[in-house]
Amino acid sequence: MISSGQKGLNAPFLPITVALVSGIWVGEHISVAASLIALGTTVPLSFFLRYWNKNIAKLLALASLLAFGALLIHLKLYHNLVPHHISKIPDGREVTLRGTIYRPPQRKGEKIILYLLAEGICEGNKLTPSTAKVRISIKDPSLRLRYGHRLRLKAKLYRPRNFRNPGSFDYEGYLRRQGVLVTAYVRRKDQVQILDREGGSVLLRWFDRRREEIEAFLDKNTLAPGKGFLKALLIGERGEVPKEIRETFIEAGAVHILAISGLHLGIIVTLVFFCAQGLLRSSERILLRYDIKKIAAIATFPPLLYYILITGSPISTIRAGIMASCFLVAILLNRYRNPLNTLAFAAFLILLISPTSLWDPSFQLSFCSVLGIILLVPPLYRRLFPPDSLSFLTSNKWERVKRGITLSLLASFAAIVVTSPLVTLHFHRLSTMGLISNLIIIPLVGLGILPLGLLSLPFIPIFPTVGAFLIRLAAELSSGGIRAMEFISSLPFASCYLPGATSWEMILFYSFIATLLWIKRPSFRKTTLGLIVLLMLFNLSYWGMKGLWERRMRITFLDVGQGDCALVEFPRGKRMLIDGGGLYGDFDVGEKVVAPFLWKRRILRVDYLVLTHPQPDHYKGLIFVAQHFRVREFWHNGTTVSAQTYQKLLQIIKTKGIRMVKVQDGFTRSIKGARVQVLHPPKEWTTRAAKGKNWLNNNSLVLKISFGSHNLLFTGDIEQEAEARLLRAGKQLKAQLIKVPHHGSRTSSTYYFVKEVAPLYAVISLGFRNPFHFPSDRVVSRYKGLGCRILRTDLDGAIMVASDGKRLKVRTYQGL
Amino acid sequence: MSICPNCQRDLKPITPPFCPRCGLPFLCAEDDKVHLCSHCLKEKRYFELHRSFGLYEGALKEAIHRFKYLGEFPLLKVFADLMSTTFQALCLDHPVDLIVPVPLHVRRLRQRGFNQALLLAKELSKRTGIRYGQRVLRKVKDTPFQSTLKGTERRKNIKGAFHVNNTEEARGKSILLVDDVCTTGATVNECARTLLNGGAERVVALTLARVV
Repeated sequence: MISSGQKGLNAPFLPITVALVSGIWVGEHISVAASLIALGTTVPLSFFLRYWNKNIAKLLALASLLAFGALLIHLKLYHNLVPHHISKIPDGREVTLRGTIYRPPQRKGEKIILYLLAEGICEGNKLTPSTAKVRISIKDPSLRLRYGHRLRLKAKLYRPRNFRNPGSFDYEGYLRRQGVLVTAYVRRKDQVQILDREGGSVLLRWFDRRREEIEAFLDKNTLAPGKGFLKALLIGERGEVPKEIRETFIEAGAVHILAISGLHLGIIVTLVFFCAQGLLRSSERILLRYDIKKIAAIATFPPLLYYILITGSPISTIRAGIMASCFLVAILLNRYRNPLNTLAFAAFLILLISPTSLWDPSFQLSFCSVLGIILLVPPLYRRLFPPDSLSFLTSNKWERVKRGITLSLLASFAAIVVTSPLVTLHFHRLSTMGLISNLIIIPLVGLGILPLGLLSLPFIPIFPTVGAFLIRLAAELSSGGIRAMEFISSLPFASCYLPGATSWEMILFYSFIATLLWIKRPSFRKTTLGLIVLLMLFNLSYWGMKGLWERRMRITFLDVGQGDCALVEFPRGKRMLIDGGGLYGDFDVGEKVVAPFLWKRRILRVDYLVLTHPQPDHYKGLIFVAQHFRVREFWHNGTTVSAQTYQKLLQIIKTKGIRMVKVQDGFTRSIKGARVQVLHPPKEWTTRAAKGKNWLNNNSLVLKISFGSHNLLFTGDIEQEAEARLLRAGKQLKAQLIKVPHHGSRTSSTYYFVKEVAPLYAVISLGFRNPFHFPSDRVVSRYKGLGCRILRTDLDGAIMVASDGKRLKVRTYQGL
Repeated sequence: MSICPNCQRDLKPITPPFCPRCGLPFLCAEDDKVHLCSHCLKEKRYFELHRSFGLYEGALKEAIHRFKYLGEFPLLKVFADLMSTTFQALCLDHPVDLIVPVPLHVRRLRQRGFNQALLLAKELSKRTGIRYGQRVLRKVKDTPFQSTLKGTERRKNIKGAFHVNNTEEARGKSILLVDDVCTTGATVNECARTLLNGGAERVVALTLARVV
């Protein structure tokens, strides 16, 4: 025990934390009763068995902790709602809310997002109590709202709603884990009225006012790119980091620097800890009398706390603070020899306080990276610099610097490697430049920007000129850092988009690392590693070949909100995406809905991109797909619009060398046993000079895909004129399934047209409670009257159709 | 913290026969006759007695390295446990009233952040109730590490390196000199000389480990 390194060190908190984590994870899938029963049996059992067999009793105690974790998450997520909870108010109702801002508002593009702790609903002068946390977005960034303001505002209440597709982000769950069940939308600034500014906690309010001052100071003294970066780093205000810079950092693999996390607190703790030690070293008396390491650890707490509070104390920073404090306390208690135990304890503490953290990517990434550093760095370091007891005496300065750089590189490497599967899972994107960019940005932030910025803060009220000088210096360094990241991200192959890792792949990946770390016997180690590599190759070839073996055709109509999007997977792995959806505003359906679905299905190549007609709710989502997936051909109807986003799509198609194919009536293509026919529009329609109101819609491509005995009709947004033309032209319209024209508008789906098609299934692609009041009741009853089953993306979620040429199988996401 | 059986087996406590003066163990002694070692015969020894717990080898060596260079302070308790029997044997015949650690030069102290001998002295003082003097002895010459030099160089290197800071405190005292590792005894001898010059009545020395 006195000499061995890691050997014989035990981490008592490791099994405890593992039990709690598994409990929380299991808790989402079992009922309260089950976890209560488990808790009720394991606790007394472990208590009584203590006298009989200690080990079994210990195991039972862990089991009871597991049950406790399950219960914890239940209480957090599915607690009984109070009778006057706001979520009891019907969806979409406009009400006048009164409440207090309980979290610093964040700017997000042209919106402000604020979280309000509601007190009640005002009706005239009467206040009906109604408590809840509400996420409110206000469409006016000029409004100056701060933590602790009490507001009265007129807002429309909405229940948060997921896009119901495989692979889509669980937005409802994300908000629910924060205790938010209702969202609201405020259209105009004058619907918000500030009642007073003294709500919330005194401490947090005081710090929020300091943040306000710092923000004003930054606005006055620094310029654009550096300013946003400094705001993100110093006060946690990320609204002024433009999307392009964020993208740059993502591509360079350094985006973690923009969100205040364990890394920043780690930097501050290390900096203060070593500076304090350096200062204390100057006094011989202190050196002789005290343990300076402990004094330095104590001295680190106030700056740590200050930084957490000045950044607005979001939950991720508080978590990082708990983690950092655990390590400092370990130093005070002489328990720093086993960081693994400290990390486990920190995780235990955090999960006890906020069990929902387990789902939070920032929690997962923070802990995995620290875990990776703790586990991987020592063996790697020992391999590079074999332990040499005299090295402490002989090492000169240059050697020390060399070792320091190696150590930080190893730490970056370990963190990047261990977190990479999680990164692909959450962000679908991996940077190859992470090692280089971190070697630049972390010292720059840690030794330059953050210390200068934090140092300038106390000068703001006393010597503004000194503060301004320091902050300008920090801003200069920041823009330098941004430029460096821009350069790195501009290199070829800086980043790539990847499908998220499956749980099977994660198990393989982590068992590979575990084998390298812990299996020492060479023969066994070699066999295990070989086996894992073999399984990995097998897994890769499975996904690579899966499409080639496929004999059926599958069609998925995605829930993209208001808009159209369908993926056709032909036999033998050929794919066609018909339209890509698209919402008004900043939300990129392509990036947030279509691409995640494709990644979930492990699709990186789309052979045919089809745009029925150039309207935003059909093409906007295609932009992301065209840019980041391998696309062969782009089919369009020949019409064009001057909208900026559409020109961007064309630009991408041009630069990526995608073949533009103008398809019109009469065009046919055989794809692996399926036949794609274009029935509409004829040439004379698209060139027609008279551009009526519905010209664009009526020129939508109409596709008929035939496979075996099945015909499927994709009609875009055609209106009655085009329907009449199809009937007049005597086209074979009969189909088992129709994508209902124009989202079920009453100007389409005329009786004769529907009767001619005579579908078994009618798929309507539309947004939930869309402002156009689609689908029209008359259209729905027309289809129903002809004995047709209606499927709606707004209610059923994604609609998945599979055909082997003889039988048609239909499933919906909601019906899964 | 305690010692695991593996490391316990790896410890080599110093047992008789050894030099009655400086405590150097005779590893290949055939006779049981008590005699001084060659160093003590050749050189003048200023300390009355010097004893060490064990040999500077194996587990103990690694532990001292971790303590000294990596700052693993929890090891202090283990070291004090090991030293306590040696301490009792030593002080049975030679009662002391002041514990003095071998000092570090202030530059080295700054570099390391602590004086390992002082920590040992503090811990012993806490256990025995005997006062310790952290600033009785000062190192005034910043000498290269003893461990990088050879025998005679060591003696030359250390000559005049120490200074009694406070003669009042040392006057007429029986002093226990404490250090972590002793190689040839040059440092301990020089400290003892300085202390006697500074007015101490007599000096005995205790070290944790000894190089043979």
